[in-house]
Amino acid sequence: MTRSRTLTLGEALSLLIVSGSVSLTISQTLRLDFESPAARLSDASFVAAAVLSIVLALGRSRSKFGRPPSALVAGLVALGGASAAFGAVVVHSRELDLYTKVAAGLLGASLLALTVAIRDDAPLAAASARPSLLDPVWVFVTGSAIALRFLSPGSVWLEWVVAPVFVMVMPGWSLGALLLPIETGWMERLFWAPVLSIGALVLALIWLDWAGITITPLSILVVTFAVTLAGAALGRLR
Amino acid sequence: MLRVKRTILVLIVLLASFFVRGFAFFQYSYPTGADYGHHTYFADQYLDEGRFPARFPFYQLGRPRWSNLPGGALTYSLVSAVSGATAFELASLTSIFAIIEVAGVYLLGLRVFRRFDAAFVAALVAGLVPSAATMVAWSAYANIIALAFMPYAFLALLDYWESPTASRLALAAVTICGAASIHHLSTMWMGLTFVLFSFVLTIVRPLEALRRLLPLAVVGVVVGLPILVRIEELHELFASAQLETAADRFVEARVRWSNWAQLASAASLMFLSGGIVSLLRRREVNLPHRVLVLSYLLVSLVLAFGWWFGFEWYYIRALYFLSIPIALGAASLLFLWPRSLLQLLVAACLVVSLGVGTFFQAESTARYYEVLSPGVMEGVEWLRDFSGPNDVVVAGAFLGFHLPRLLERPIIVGLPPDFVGNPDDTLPAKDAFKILTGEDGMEEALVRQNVKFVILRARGEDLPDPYRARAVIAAQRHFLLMFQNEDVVIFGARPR
Repeated sequence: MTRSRTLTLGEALSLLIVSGSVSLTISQTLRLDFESPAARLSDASFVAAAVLSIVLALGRSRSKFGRPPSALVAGLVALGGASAAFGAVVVHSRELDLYTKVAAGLLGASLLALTVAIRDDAPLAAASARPSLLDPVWVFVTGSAIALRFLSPGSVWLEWVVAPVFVMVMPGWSLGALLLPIETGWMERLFWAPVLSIGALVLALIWLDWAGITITPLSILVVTFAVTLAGAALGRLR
Repeated sequence: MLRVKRTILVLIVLLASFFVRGFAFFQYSYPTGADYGHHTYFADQYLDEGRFPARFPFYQLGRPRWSNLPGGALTYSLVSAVSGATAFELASLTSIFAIIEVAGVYLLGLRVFRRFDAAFVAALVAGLVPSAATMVAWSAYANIIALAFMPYAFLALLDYWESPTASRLALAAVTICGAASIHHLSTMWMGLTFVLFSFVLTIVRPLEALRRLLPLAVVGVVVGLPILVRIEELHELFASAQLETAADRFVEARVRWSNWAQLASAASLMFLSGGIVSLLRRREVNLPHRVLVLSYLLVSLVLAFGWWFGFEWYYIRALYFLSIPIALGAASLLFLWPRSLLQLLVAACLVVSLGVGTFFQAESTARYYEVLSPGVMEGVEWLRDFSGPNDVVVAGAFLGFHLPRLLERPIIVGLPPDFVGNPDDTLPAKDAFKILTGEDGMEEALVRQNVKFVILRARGEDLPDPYRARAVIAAQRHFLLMFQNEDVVIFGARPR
């Protein structure tokens, strides 16, 4: 009895979400007014869905075991969704430049990715051991940063690749060797690197300013080196 | 193989979020938005002066005291120092923070749900929430950087809570203090969230909580001492602003359904209600994780609807902080369905509507906030050539954010009352607003401020309305049209 009631709620909620999503996409694609019937239908559907979702969530704390759709069906849904997204962009934007095409294409690709990901219920894989393959890369980045800073300041390569990696990735990567758990995988380390880099360097510069030490390009270089070397050296001791 | 597949899937989402938010950076001659005029100027100031300046040169006649936390602008100073490019030239680098933020939500999703599919959905939704694309378009860069740090600050706190080792304590201190140094609003958000989180867990598990909180508080205060001092200074500054301004100035900034649907998406109502309820009911999610998500959501909602509780501030800003609970709520809600075709259809429909809506909004908001253009730059160049170093220039809010750096002349900027955050802005902003809207007292304001030039946008938007301002100034017998192109008009004062 309970099972049949929750299933009904789930189906009703699905219907509301699908109708809200479709009407919202149509109203936005056709640039309809907020007061248009499609926009109002979408608003009403999502408000009702919000209420129903609370009821569903209160009645069911986790999903029942189900059978994922076959790869063929999932692929068809993915292709349908991606085509709908891309088609909406084509209709809405009228003229597509390369950037818009790439962005719309990636939106479609993320729908394909969603259908693959949502069928992936394998347990999380254990992370790999601490990587050290990138050490030569850091040496190259450091050398390039110093050389380009003097030979070609403001160049596109320096501005967009070398300098950001030098200050926004390298110090954080080496600090990660010290602070992140040893078993952390390389992707997670890479995601953490900019946060640790900027966090540590900004804190160091704020302290320098507080101590009355002038902030210059040289002091920034010194601080970046110091943080990177300290992280790498102490990280190796772990 | 599984790891490679998952890495590729995540990379697709990171790239999609990068490109959807990138309209503001890569579709126009200059990045769109007004605020980055200030951020990049701050960054250049740090390097030019060698320390954090006390006053803001040229803006509102150079009177306003510095009212920012330094971390956001310092981020540009770091890259600027190494690359030799100016901070303004580096503005587009902000696009990278889309990837950093969405990656952070993915990691947070992995910690909370301990399953790949849910973490992936959380990352995808975070990447496609419209608020981020809108915020990028008006170039609240410091806030964007801080929001990108937020999931990592939460991760660091939760990891430390789970296993309070020295390295995790250091990681939490660096991440949280680093994030707290970037933007005052995000710092306030994090601070309130951590206070509520700590309060709840201290009540539920007092000994365990105190054993974790005391070392973190001590290390955090030591590492972040200069930031705490700066926050106290800012608090005094903003508190005096509230005393001096009208109590009803934020009525227009109250959250309405139209704002909500536009910035947070209509579907977010469901993610934040049913989604969060389902997350809170999940036994497999650790208690501290649930408490943290709930604390953050409560802080965000209280500040979004602050007028119910007597807070006066720019309420709509709270909607930009909802992406983490929206993403986690969406992931939790979606897995209430059994694995089935129905679940897949629901997920696909939601992602199509969210993605397409955000895509269109990113495009249109970027167009709305296209402040700088070659035509504007040409006008600014003319004005710099034909004005003296002490000639006072009047401009609207959008253009006014860029002019201190571009023009290096004393400027008064017409800010609507709800835009005035710094008390030192109040008088010049009020006078400039009168001049640009033709309100009572305009003549006196022109004389009082000794205005020599008025620069207005001839295409696109500004505050106050630049078309009305043009009509008002053109009707003034003391002013002559001196420069005009497709993007900008400049009026000059006749000798009196």
